[in-house]
Amino acid sequence: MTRATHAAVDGLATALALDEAAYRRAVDLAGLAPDRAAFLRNLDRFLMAVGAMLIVAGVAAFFAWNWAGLHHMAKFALLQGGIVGAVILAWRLEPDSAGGRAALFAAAFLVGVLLAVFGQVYQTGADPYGLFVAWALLILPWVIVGRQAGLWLLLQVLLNLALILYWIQVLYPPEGWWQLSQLLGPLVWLGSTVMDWRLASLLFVLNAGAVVAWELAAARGVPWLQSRVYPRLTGLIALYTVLGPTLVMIFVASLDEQAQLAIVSPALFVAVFAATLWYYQYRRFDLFMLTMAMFGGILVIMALAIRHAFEGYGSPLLLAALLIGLVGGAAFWLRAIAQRARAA
Amino acid sequence: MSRPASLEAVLDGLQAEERLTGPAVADGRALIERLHGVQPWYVRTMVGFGAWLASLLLIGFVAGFGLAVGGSTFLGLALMVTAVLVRRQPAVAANDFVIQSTMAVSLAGQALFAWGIANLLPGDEFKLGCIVVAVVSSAMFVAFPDRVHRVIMVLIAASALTALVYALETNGIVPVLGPVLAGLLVLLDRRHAALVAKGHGPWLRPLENGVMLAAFGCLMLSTIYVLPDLGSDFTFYPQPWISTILLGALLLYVGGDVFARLAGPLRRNARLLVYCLLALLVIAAWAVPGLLLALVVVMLGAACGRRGFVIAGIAFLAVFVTTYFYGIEVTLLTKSVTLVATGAVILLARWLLLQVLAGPGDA
Repeated sequence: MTRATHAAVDGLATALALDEAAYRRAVDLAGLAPDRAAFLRNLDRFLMAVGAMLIVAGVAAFFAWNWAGLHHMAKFALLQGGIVGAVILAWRLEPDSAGGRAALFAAAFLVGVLLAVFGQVYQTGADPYGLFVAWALLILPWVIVGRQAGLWLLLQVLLNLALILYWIQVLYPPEGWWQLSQLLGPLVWLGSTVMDWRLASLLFVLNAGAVVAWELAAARGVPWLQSRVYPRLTGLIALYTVLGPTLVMIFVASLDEQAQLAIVSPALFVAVFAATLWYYQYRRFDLFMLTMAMFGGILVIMALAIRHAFEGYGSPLLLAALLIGLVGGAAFWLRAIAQRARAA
Repeated sequence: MSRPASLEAVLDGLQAEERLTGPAVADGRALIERLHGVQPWYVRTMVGFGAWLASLLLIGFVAGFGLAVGGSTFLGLALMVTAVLVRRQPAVAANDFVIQSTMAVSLAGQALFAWGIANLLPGDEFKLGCIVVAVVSSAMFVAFPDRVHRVIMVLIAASALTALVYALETNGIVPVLGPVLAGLLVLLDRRHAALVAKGHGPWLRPLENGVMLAAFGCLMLSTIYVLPDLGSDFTFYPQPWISTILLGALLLYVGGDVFARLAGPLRRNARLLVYCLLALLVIAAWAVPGLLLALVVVMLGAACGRRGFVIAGIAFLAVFVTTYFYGIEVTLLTKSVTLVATGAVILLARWLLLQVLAGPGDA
């Protein structure tokens, strides 16, 4: 069955040379034309959401204007009031409703802001990883009772940050020129931390373990665990923690004097590549996970080819031919197994 | 709006109402069968990545011969023609890799061609480059039958023309560009069914999407002053009120039309109230014309059930408000008052409109 979207109906109309009346009728039959009730419902929701959003933005602008002059107790009162208000809202709206989920997530997020302001006001001198650990611990009960992928994702991100910061600020402060990646922004800096294979492996265990736990629980049929957002995003992080160091090792082998690179990451990559292809093909079909694994595999093969196989003037041509072959083959295989899964 | 049906059900419905002949139904079924083979976005992204990289490697290989300006122009033209000829083959329509490769080749060809022509002709390179880019992308919009490519062409053409306006030091036109593009979008939307029936469907939707995104971009450029002067040649000081007046007029037109179409016939007083509320909204959003453009786009989307417009309008509003927050031409206190006042007017409008529209006399 093919969903009748606007684009699909337009395509049908063009292909069949429908006249204007027939086209309008096709739009009606597709259920794409709104009626009065739907219009009023959408108008109600849109105006409510936009009005509330602008007022919240305006209030935020007011406090931003006056933030430095606010007494610290007023700052705490504002943030704690926001947390309490969000929790009450989540309770009144039911934590399983869309509004309740959003309110509980907002409360969990504001806890972090409160901790940051606390550290700013009292200059506690604590290491930054402590903020993320405390944040994760404080929201843990809400994460457990909240039963939503968003909260679990927030917790996962906090655990990753806490581990990274503990590693590089307390255990093994980085050395070498590559720490200059901090200058390129926090995301690049975080991404470059996997150049230490020990940290990368720990991050891999943290994230891959979370995916395995989620999939095992989901296989037991728990309804709210059927969402694919959490395992896919966490799986992507897990894949990156082994793919990143593998690519760095291939491209700049001489870097191992400065970066902590070892064969562990490539070995883990091969293992996770094989496990992903097996599990998501035969146990729980997920084309996204298979595509990401294939993409990772293509990147590794291309990196090996660039580093070792082709040199000289004609190398772009040969690399292009290899890339076309790899991507074409992967697309063909993915299409075939998607068709097989649809037929099953 | 009822739940979206399947394309098969639409075809069956048209056949049952005898709007389609037997061969047309067979063609429709064949089209639906082809649509079954469309891959999800992430597979297409992977294929697109490979195709773009492979195309750039091939172009890098050719460019490695060390071409002169004339050679670049010829090579660019050759790449564009090749991309168009390949993309127009019917067999290519189902091959994501070839589609993405031809798109990359086309864009690289356009860049080489525009650079070459701008260097070959006498005069200001930048201005000439803008004109060549606008002309070439307009031609490629027609010649290259791909919806994503067509959206990109509209955006490139609009960007080139906007840059040309700055280069010609006619900055006063810039605040008008966003509302003019929004007006074009409204016009296309009003004529959508007629244009699809005349066989213009393949380019209509990309044009609408491209014009909408270009309107967003032009309005941001002309109404929000975030960065200091980027160069002595350009002046980026915004004039939001010009856009507000023009978009306000457009909002009154679209709002009145949409309410008349979807809310049923209104009493004279109710109609007057709708217009008063819209006018009040325009006044409240005097410094925030992005809100008016977002409302116009969302209303168009809500009126014809196009979720893409609604999502784009809301996303633009969020981006605009965020950027407005960081704008440096207005104090935070003024921003705060503006945002709260606009939000309050919208909530008031919501309450009043729902009261009026729910009335029995207007049902």
